[in-house]
Amino acid sequence: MFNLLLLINGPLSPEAWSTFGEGLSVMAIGMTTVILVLFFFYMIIKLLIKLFPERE
Amino acid sequence: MEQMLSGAVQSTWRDWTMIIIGLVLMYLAVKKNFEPALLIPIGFGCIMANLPLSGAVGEHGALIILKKALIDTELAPLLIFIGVGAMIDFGPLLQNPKMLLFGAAAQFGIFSTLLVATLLGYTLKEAASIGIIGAADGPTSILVANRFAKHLLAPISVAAYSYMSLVPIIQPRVIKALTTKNERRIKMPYKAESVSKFVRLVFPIIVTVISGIIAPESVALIGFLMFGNFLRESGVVDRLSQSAQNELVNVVTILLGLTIGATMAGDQFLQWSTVSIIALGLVAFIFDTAGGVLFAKLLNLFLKDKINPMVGAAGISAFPMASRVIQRMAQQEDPSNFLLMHAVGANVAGQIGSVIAGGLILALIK
Repeated sequence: MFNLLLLINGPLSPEAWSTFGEGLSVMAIGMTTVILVLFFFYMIIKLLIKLFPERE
Repeated sequence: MEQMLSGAVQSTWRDWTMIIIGLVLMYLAVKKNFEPALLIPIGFGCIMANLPLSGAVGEHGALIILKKALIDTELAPLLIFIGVGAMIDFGPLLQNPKMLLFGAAAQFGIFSTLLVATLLGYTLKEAASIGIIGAADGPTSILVANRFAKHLLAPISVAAYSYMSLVPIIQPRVIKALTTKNERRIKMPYKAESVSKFVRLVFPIIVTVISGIIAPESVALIGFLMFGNFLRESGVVDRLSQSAQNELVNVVTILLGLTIGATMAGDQFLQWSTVSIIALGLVAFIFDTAGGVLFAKLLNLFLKDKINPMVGAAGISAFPMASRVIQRMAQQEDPSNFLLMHAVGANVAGQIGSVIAGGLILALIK
């Protein structure tokens, strides 16, 4: 318990909520970017498969 | 005589507790087959590091020299990634590219665990290092943790590799909690796109360039992975590809494991934070699985040809275990249901997704 209190921000403290807010923006940007980037790769793969079909 | 016993005399309960923990890790590796390639060297390194007055971790100790050379420089995870890239066959993914979306959704655990960790009082960098356990990818976890929270590297590494072994235990429970029997029995016909060798060659280059432009911090991480894959796909450097998959990975894994074990000093490891990190690692894997499953269920609201939500869970980066778990669950529900190729595609996509997520974390948090 004492060691828990030594955390820079206490659990659910105002500082922790402030860090949570920063984390929310990281999550929003991060997840959106990951999904968009992989969707972009999906489009590129479909395009490449159309442009460069496998030779029989 | 006194000098010989000085180590034993100066030992503390923390030293012997850590030695026991090292032995437990080795037991789990040998008897239970928990990621033995990492847990054996980690366990042994932990024992060597916690023997009182150990010369292995002294000022000129071998393990400290290795740590400075391989972990502090971030070389070890990157070198392993060359081998991982050479091992991965992106064919099932290229033949079924819509699985990429599940590779993205299953990274939800990284960011959600980051949020939970912040509420527990961790700084943003510490929370990111803990959240990256959800990448289900050892090298990525080690690289991010080493960059942002060196003092948490040991518990994060142990958690990451331990939970990767527990995927067959964690995932089925989460999947069954979030899906109905009818959803688990959905059949997905497999229609593979034919993929030319040119596409297989160009794919790693395109991933490297685009990811590097979006998140320049991620170039080393993604570049080394894709370089390894290019060695494999080129077909003209089979010797290099084989060396990357075998000798390079094996040698670096041995040294990396030993040096991670060397960071498991009792005064740093035996903290309440270690317990919370181990617990948060489980949270990360649960949310990864849930993210993939729920994303598939969301897509099913709009699709005529339904997706089996279990395939979403295969988007976690633990390859190939996650895909085998999904295939086994599908056959338990309906012996005629064959989801393996979809699951493998999603699983491989998860490898790309986790590396990109790791690169983004490095780029977004300064």
